[in-house]
Amino acid sequence: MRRVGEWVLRVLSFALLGVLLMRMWSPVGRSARAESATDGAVAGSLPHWSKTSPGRIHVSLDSTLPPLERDWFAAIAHSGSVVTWDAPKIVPVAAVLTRVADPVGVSELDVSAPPKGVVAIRGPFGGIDSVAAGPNGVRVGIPGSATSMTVYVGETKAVVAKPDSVVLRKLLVEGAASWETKFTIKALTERGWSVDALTHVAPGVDVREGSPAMPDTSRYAAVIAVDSTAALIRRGADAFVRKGGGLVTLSDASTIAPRGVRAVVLEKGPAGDIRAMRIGNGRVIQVSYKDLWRRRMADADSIDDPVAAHRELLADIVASVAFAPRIAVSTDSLSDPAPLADMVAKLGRRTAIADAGSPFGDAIPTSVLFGILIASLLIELASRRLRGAL
Amino acid sequence: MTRFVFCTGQYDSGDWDSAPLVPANLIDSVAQYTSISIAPSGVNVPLASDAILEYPLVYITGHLPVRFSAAERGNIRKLIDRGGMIFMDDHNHDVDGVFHKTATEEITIALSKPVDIPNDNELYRAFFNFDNGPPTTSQELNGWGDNLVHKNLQGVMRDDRLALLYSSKDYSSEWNYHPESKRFNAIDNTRFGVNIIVYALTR
Repeated sequence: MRRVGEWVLRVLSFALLGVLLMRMWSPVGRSARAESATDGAVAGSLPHWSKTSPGRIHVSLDSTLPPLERDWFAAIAHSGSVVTWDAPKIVPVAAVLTRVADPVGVSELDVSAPPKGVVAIRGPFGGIDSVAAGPNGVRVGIPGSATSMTVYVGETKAVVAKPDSVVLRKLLVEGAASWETKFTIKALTERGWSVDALTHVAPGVDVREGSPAMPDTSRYAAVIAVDSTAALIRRGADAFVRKGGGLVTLSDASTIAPRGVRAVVLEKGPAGDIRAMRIGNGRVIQVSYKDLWRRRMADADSIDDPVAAHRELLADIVASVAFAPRIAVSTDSLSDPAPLADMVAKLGRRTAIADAGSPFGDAIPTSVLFGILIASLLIELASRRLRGAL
Repeated sequence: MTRFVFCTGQYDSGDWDSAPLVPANLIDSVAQYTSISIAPSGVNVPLASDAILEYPLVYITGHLPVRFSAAERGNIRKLIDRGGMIFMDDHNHDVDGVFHKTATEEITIALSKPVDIPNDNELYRAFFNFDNGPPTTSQELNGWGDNLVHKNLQGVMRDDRLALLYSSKDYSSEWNYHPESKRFNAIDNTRFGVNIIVYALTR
């Protein structure tokens, strides 16, 4: 029985020795001093923490740390301090600002936010809009030449930098002499696109605008086949699309699209539908609605400006497929498109203060553990000597 | 592809239907010379009706004084502003005649004052080439009406596009015959009508 007790004391001693060694190697072990701060005090505390390297730092936040403070805090964590943070009010928000392939310079702001969260959007000169997020977040068209935008969802603030520029090449429109061909060319030209057009009037007689040529991504952003007579586009469509070009087929020109790829229905109405396909690096949109030009000419009570509506419809269709190489603009240092994700990437997951301890436990002070270790060794030694063992 | 439909504009004043065979004759020529998909018969649509906007090329003619109603003027403006074209021909071939005076006044009120179109305009090369500008009509050559051979057509431009074409040459008389009679002509005199239709469809 006495020997069993001695074995228990030996095992306890080794276990305590192991824990003490791990504590010594861990940052907390080197300096068990813990510090904490809240939002407003973080910026002021960072220089102090950089000099003193506390064993553990915990910050409680009501809003996201600015990127500079976040990076500084991450640097402190990498220098040996155990850094934890807690921010119950911060929600996951991510925003991206993309330049649309459209000569009028439209950008799209996509915001991912919790459903029903109110997304407030501010531009450089003030508030722009405030909308409730749907299941897929929020998409807002920003007219003009967008600069950086700020998105607020509750206390969370995301900042997106100026979008990349896009290179807009020409469009090629081809079809028989008809109102659809004429008004397709007209609408896209009015929108600001540079259009090469080939209109077939009679066998061997074509009306040319610009210098229509075989579809090629070095020349065209997208090609629009107005009807099945678009022989030039038919010849080059497959290679053009696979290289990244955009193809739009209207009405009965759908046979021009490369085959063998399943199309996704984007819109379906009683008079037709709009389908999309991705082939190689390019995209195809097939519009089976007939006579889109009637939307421009005919009076509809629900549309104030049918000419603009027709123009916008075609511009949207073309923008969704157009090949538009992007030119990266210099990244704005204030850009912070996904603050919560960035904080998790740099500082680790959010941790409540009660869970923020060392993985080796620190409920019992090191000195107490050391005392227990010495005591167990002395008792074990005394027990052996008193029974005459070595 | 929806077919092109030749449209004659009806207006409340005057005699809009003074040249009933012109549409059939021009339809025949377009079908004969081009691959344009064209309806075999034309339509007559009131200028005051919104239905006129379904026809981006409208032919208007007559002998009598023309006074457009507000609705007719409004639709002419809409048609032109949205990219359509109007071809208006004086069936009198008479610059002092009532049609000419009233029609040009109405054009001025609805759009702007018609101006002479240069004879190198694209209209004259839209399909057939007319190097000397608008082809003469037998009415002009016979000295009928104003006893003039008009050197230019007139029109109203929108940007670089001819939005309204106005003729004092009386093409309505020149083309107002049954298409089958065309075979008796040494040169088809409706060829310029093909140019007008091709121009409207492609510019």
